[in-house]
Amino acid sequence: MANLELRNISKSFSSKRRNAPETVLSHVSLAVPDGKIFCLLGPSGIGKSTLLKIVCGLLVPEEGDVLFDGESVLRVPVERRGAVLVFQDASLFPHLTVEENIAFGLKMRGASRGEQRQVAAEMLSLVEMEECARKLPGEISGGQKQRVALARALAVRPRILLLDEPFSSLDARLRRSMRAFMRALQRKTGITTLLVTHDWEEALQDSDILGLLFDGKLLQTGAPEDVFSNPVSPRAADFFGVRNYFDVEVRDGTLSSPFGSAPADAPDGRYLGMLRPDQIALLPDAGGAGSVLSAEYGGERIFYDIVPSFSANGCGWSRFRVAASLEGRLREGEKVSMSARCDTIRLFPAESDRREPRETESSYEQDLQ
Amino acid sequence: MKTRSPFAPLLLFAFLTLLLLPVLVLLIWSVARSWPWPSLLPAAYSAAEWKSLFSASSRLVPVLLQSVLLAGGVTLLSLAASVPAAKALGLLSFPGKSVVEMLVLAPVIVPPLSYAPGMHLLFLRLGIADSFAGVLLAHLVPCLPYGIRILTNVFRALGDRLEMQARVLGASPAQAFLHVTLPLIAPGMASAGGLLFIVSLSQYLLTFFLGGGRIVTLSMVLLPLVKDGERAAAAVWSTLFIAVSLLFCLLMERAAKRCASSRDTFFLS
Amino acid sequence: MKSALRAYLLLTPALLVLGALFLGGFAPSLLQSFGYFPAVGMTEPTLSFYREVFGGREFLPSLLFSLRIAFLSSAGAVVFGTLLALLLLRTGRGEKIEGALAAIPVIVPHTVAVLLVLNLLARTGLLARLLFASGFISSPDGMPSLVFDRGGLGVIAVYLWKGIPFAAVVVYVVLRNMNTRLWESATVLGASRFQAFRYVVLPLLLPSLSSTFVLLFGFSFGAFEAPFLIGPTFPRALPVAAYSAYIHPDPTFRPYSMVMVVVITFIAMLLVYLYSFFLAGEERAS
Repeated sequence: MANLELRNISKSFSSKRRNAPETVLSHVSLAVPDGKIFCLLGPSGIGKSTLLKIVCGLLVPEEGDVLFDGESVLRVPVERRGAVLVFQDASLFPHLTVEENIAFGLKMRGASRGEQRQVAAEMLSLVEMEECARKLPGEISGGQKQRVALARALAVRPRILLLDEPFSSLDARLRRSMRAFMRALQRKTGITTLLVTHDWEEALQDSDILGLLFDGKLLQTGAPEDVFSNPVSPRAADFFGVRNYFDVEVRDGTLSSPFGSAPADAPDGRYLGMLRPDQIALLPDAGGAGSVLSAEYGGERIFYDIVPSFSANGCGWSRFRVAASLEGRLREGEKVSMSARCDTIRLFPAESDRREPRETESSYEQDLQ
Repeated sequence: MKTRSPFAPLLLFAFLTLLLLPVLVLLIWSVARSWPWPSLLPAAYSAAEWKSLFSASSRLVPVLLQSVLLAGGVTLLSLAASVPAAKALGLLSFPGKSVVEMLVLAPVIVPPLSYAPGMHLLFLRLGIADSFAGVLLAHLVPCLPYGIRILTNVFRALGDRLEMQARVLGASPAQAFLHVTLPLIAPGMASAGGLLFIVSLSQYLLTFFLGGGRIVTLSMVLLPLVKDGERAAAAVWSTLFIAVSLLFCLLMERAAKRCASSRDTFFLS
Repeated sequence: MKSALRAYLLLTPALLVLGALFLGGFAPSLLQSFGYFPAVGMTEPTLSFYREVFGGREFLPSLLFSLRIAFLSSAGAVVFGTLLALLLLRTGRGEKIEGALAAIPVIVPHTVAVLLVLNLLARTGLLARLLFASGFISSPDGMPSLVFDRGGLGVIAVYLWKGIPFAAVVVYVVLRNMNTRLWESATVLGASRFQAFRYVVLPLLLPSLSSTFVLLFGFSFGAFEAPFLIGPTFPRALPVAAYSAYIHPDPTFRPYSMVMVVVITFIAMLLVYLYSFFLAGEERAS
């Protein structure tokens, strides 16, 4: 067990498409205290996996340092570094049985046969897979493979555990149970863990500390609830789904927005205001400031796309997205009024680098492919 | 896409007959004592040719020994050079890759006639002309491309993920190769090995030019027999040639299976 | 750059062998073809050997003979191989015999294949005996000459015997991996079975067919054994002509041989380039 610290890590790859090298990590610094889970959230791309490979020693950063317990490990070769990476596809050795896979790391260290067998048995019971000891990886299911991969990683008693989207190849239901299993296992073993994922719900639920990685840069780190409700920029806010933006003006300690006015402690000036879909309420109102463009049934709630009629006051956005309860369902084309508590409006500098929320989402999907 | 029409199976049967009948005729020739025109089957059978093949005065033992040692050695050396080359071509990208790929492919199509005479001059200077070692080296040229080609595909299919995983779990580069990569490429090495053995065994011109007639392999015995129309003797040696090739392929396959299934040996070593 | 260094390190043994023996083996042939052969006292570079060989009585017929043999045998192998592959697919027997089919042409060398063809097609071969038994001919002399003939039928037969199963396996593997729904959707769209093959399957097969054709063409063009053993005495295949000039007791005849060797190598290198071009296309398609 150890605490992990990354200082100022930069890495780029020579790219075939563009002639210039492509920067995948730029001056990334983060710290994971002993026994905590740090979750790195970011669109799928090579940055996150690259960072994990740098921590375990499969790649060398161009700049920066990796420290375990305050000591640089950059010169320690991968096999002696003690940071174990679990890949997305489990990467079990297909020619070895489950038991042999788990004992692999110990065997490489020259552990006795008895120790290998004993640790393998312990790990198998830890991941509740005793009955599969003699099976080959081809004979077990996807979820079981991930358990074996975890057991194999834990068997070498690593100082740091690195998980690269470990459950993203599983179906939704299995993924949920595997994540719960992983959290319980982490709590039980108390191992310092760095997890990367592109799924924000997973990131919020599974982490002690959350970091947002975008374009090779760490945008924000902090407790999950803090990062969620106090994003440092529109881009950080967009990690957690669609967000609504509008123009806000502050004058003499008073904020005025399309949703009304409230006292604010920001300096005078123009701002970009933001509200989450769940922070806006809708009421049918023939004289309202918006009309329902479409409704999307989402199970526990309905998402409405609203076309605001107050674009005249300078707001660049064509639509608002609002999450509402199932009661009093609104029809398409119906006029509505929107209201929100103005003290919950998050203010960003007016010239913030921002993208239309919907574009953000679809470009995430493109990255996935 | 199966049809009830008997036409397709019949046509297939005709094709296979045309391909296999000659082999059957070859086997018959090897046991025919007399097969006068115009009978469709030999008038008398005898094992005389086979007996003389295995008789004390036969060239069998030295020829077989030299052939197998040569082809076996070529196979081992080719595999040893092919594995790293295939790893580079299958998993790494580097400047000049397409040129290397072309060079590595060329001897498949460029015949030995192109390089054997010059190689002989070179070997004369090195003092290995007309020697076993010289022929062994020469055979590497037509064999390497096959080994590299097959193993490149094997490495491409395998990827480098598992070797990385092994390193992360504490294996040194050598351990990762020995315990993960090698068992996984063993089946590919075996099929490549079978092919390499046969390619080496089949070389006539290269063996003739660089062995100076002193290195007598199966091919060197076989060609004059066919040239001189010694049908029965040629049939016997041909059968032997095919049998040796098949046997080696089987052995390679077996060795690969043993290497690949460490199920019972993992905890022992 | 570190990975490039590693790649070259891994390639070193193979490149050393191929560079020294393959390229290094060809270089003296090239020099000798220009009359540079210091070992026998020829040090004046000249084009006269090229002129003499190209203007000679045998060169052009030999070259054309070799090209014709190579073209006919590889085209035949690709066409019949495709047919055989379709039959395998159609009858559903492919899985069972694919392995054996792939092994036969590999395991049987040219020399043995020549023997097989002799046993079958020679004047007293099995075919002649069958024709006699069915009354078509009355003596071996009535048998048309199929081996040692000027057309090189016997040589072509050898290459076909080895080439057809090879091409069949290549095509069969591509066809098997091809989605069977392609045939079906073409048929649903109104194509006849022939049209489905002609307009959907054939274009998809084309890269593999081209690369197989080039490969077999190269094999047959440069190989020595078959035309040496059952080829005509005139015109001889180019490799046979080069070989007999090479073994001429007078070493000053060597440059004539080397001119032919250089021509053979030049054509073979062209084929290598074509082959790697088609191979790249095949890889892109899969």
